[in-house]
Amino acid sequence: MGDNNIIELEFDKTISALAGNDYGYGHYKKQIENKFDYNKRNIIIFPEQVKKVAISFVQGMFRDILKKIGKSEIERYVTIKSSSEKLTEKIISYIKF
Amino acid sequence: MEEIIQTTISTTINEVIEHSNLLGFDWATLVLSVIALMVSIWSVVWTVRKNNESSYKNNLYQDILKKPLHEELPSCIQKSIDLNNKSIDDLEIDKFQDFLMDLRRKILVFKYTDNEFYEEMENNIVKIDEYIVLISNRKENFEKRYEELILVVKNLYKCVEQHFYK
Repeated sequence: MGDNNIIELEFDKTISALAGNDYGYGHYKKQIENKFDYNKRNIIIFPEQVKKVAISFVQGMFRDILKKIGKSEIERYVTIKSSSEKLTEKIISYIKF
Repeated sequence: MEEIIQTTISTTINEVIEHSNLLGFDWATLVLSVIALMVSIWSVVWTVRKNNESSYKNNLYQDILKKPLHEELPSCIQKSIDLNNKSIDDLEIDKFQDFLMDLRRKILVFKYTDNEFYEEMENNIVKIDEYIVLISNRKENFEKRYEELILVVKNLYKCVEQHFYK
């Protein structure tokens, strides 16, 4: 995989927890779809303010990407960064489940 | 199983001989006796099969769901949400999410034994996860969010009850 493609996500400053399939999909359409590069490693950065992420949000956000890539290949194309290592591990485990 | 069938057959035959008139051959009694014998055998086979099925289901419940549903889920809710103070414990919510993820893995077996049940369980678990994340987000609508959470938890238990006791 070639260069990195950095995608920094933005959410309302009052929100510290992300939940909901439609909400996740909405943010995929708004913040990721047009920036995602299937020829690069995409580093998706969750802002520091986000402390919790629900399974449903991740399912919504990564639904279309997983249709194209598949779970086994996801880590070649996607790297997650977040406010904590534990949260990052959680998000990845939700994507790969 | 074979022993039970043999016992049933010999008991029925003994009863037929006891109640039949061997000097005057009675076709009606013979036919009724054969029917009674067949019904007895079928009844035994059906009962044994049902018991085996029930035993298998019971084992699945004991091995996979009993501890998570009887102990761990109620404990997670209790530790993570304080309804009186409208507050949540962040660390306990994290553990609650870990528990739910673990439960998702445990119920995967039902994907291959009863996919309908699996889908319903999976949906309920994901919903519970969603509600505990939402409830930790903001203090407004706390009671409403809590009620919504408890409703889904009740759905989960109902779903299990219907599956294992139908």
